[in-house]
Amino acid sequence: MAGRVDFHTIVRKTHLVSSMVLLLFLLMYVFSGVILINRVQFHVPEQVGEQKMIAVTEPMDGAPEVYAKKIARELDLKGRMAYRKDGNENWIFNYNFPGTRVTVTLRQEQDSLQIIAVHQERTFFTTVQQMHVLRGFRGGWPYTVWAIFYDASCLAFVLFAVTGILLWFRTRQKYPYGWIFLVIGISIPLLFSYLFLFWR
Amino acid sequence: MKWNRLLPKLHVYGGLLCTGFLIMLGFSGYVHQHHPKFIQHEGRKASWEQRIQSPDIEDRLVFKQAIRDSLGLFGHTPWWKDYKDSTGISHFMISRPGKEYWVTEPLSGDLFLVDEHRTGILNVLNQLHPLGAGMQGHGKGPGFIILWKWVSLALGIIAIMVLCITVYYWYTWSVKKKHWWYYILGAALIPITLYIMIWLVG
Repeated sequence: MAGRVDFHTIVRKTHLVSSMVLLLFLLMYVFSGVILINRVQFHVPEQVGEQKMIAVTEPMDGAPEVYAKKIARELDLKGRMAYRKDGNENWIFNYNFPGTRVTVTLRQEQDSLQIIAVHQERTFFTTVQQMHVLRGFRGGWPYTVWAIFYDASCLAFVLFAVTGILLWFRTRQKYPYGWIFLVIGISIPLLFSYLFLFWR
Repeated sequence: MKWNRLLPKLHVYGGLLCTGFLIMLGFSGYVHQHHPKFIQHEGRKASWEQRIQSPDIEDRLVFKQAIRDSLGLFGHTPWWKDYKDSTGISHFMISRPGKEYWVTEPLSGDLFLVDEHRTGILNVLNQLHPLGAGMQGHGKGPGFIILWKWVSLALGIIAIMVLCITVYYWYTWSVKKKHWWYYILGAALIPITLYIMIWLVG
């Protein structure tokens, strides 16, 4: 019939195109994941911290984002910016740049700023680790695009699994042991989940 | 000829073996970025008081880990789940797959209050992902954590193998026209450019 959509073709194309678009991202996540599992084999540079307190010249009056930018300008901080209020009503401003993490705490009384800067040498391991855990839409357009790719990678992991099962099911006569591998593959994470769930 | 028969089998059987692992990674990756509320399932609760020696440690993280070990628990102590209430009493959380504990420190004395609640299976599935790296700094957990680490490593290597076979199939079956190479090159450049951008500019 003209114009009929073949389900198998859609599944096959989805499997192919999603894998093409995300190949490098997926390879990066799987490769860096294997590195992180074996983190004891790598030298992890020590984090060196420094701390200082400065007096507040102008208290926060308005949006925290504006204040966060003001702090960044005044203290010459760069990198990804984030802020939150902690349980003790202090404002915490974070600035993350690969290799350097700066936390600025504005006390509830708005009288002083505590600045904690943590530096870590950039190595192969720290690069891989930071790539693996980088997430979140905020912090500028590169982070937003990265976050979109990140979400697409998550979706692709699920899509590969589901479309892979569908593709195998169609050719199951050719791969008769597929059932065994599928049952084991689904059972492994479930088994470990239930072990944790019922562990004392 | 042998490879031609072996590769499809490795691709299909290896892929099927990774199915649950891949779904778990996709799900926990989504949770990592979006923090959905539906995994914060509040299960069965229990509370008890336990008398332990309060350690004399300045560093807050080391102090909480010492309390955790003395209580006979395991798990990590997230820094963002730690506060002082209006009466000056400190509370902090110990989190592990399957359970979360709120520990209330006494103002004086050595009687600690522990509130435990069970989390649902989705929460555990989410925590299996980082647990693949083991429980460094998370205390003495059960032996199957180490087993999970090795299983994760094996499944990760199988997933890489399946991906490499996929690349080989593209090369031999699907990528026949020149414009497909431009498409792949463009797709490959996006993550590389992004990372260089983030790495250098921040």
